[in-house]
Amino acid sequence: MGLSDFLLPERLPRQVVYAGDRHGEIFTLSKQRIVRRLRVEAAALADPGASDGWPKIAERLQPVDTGVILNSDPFIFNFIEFDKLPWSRKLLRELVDWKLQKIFPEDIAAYDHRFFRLNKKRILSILVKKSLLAHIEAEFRGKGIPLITIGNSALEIFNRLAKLRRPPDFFVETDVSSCCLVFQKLGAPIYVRKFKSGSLEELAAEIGKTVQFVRNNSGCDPRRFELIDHREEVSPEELAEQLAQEGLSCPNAIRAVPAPYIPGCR
Amino acid sequence: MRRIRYNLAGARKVDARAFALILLGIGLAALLLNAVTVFNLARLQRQNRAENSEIRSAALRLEGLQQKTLRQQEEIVALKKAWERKLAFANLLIGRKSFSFISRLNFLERACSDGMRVRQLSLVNEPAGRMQMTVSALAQNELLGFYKKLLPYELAIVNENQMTEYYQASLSIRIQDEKK
Repeated sequence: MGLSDFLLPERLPRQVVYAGDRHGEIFTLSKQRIVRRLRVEAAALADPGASDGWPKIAERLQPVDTGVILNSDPFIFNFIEFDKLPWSRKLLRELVDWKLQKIFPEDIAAYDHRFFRLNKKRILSILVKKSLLAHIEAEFRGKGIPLITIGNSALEIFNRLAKLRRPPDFFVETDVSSCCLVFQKLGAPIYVRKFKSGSLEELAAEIGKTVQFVRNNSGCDPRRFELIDHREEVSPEELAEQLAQEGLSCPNAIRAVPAPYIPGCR
Repeated sequence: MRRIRYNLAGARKVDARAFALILLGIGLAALLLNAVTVFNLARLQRQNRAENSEIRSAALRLEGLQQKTLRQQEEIVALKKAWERKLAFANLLIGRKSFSFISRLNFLERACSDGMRVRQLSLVNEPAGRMQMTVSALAQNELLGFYKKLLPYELAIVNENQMTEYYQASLSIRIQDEKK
């Protein structure tokens, strides 16, 4: 958070659209509480190709300050480590862009690239296609709805968990077809993995493998996790039970918050 | 860990209330800082003023002491001059006085026999001045013996009278300067 972020705090949206894999969910907020929640099935806002989703959502939106929270599927997360990070923001951007060009196979110019300094050596780089952002903004502009926030659900969850006195070692955010795991250590993200989820067993096995990978490579032993599931038909307890067999516990400290991925919601 | 603020919207809006609160906070902090600065400056100025007045009074005291020292030095010089004048005068007197009263009186005492009295004596305060005296003796031969002792000293007998019980003579002698 820079000085300008501190001096110019952003207004929180009064309604937020969560853009899931195959559904959208509209949250109406009042005094930082959810007063209305409406799930719209078969409305993939994050998929520019699916043209039928947006009208379903748009007709239910009010012309107030609105935010869109995308799940992690369209985002690309990269952790980049340097010997030493320069203080100059411009220099750091050049350095990160240079490094990213070496490891990223596509044209970076087509992506919106933001990065965050995690410590003296590490950078979290986040990429998302500019065309997707332009598509969403155009749809909102077309309907005359002010769009003031476009965010990422995993980062919102991470920010919320980082405030806890004893944050979990990682969290799992699952949707119908995608899953995102974010591992943290000392309040900073250390590893993010996204994958396409299949059956419950496959999902549990994939999470177990990822935990083992982090255990082997990062020098920490993830045990506690939080589970945020956007699916309606699947009970999150089943996945928690499966993972408990691998020695992973889910205290569900975040359960009190109805939608931890919605910014500014208590 | 700092919060990761990630908002990709092109038309982000500033929260006016939070911004006003932050401005108010910054303003209050600036005001507080200014107040603290002014208070500290005023305190420093007060301290400086007190120190300056102390320095001024110390300088005045020092000046007074210097003047006193100068006065005392002048007094010392004056006293020294007076003392030197007195000393010079005393030395002059000492230089002028090259004879001893005591030795003349001793001589007179030795010259007088037992029955003689010196009734009057006058000395001149200069070397080789004449000693004038009036002496009396019970017998004339005592006077004669006394004359005999004084003969080397330019004895001049002014008068000699016989009284009922004693003989009285007025005479003068000159004793040369003892230092010569």
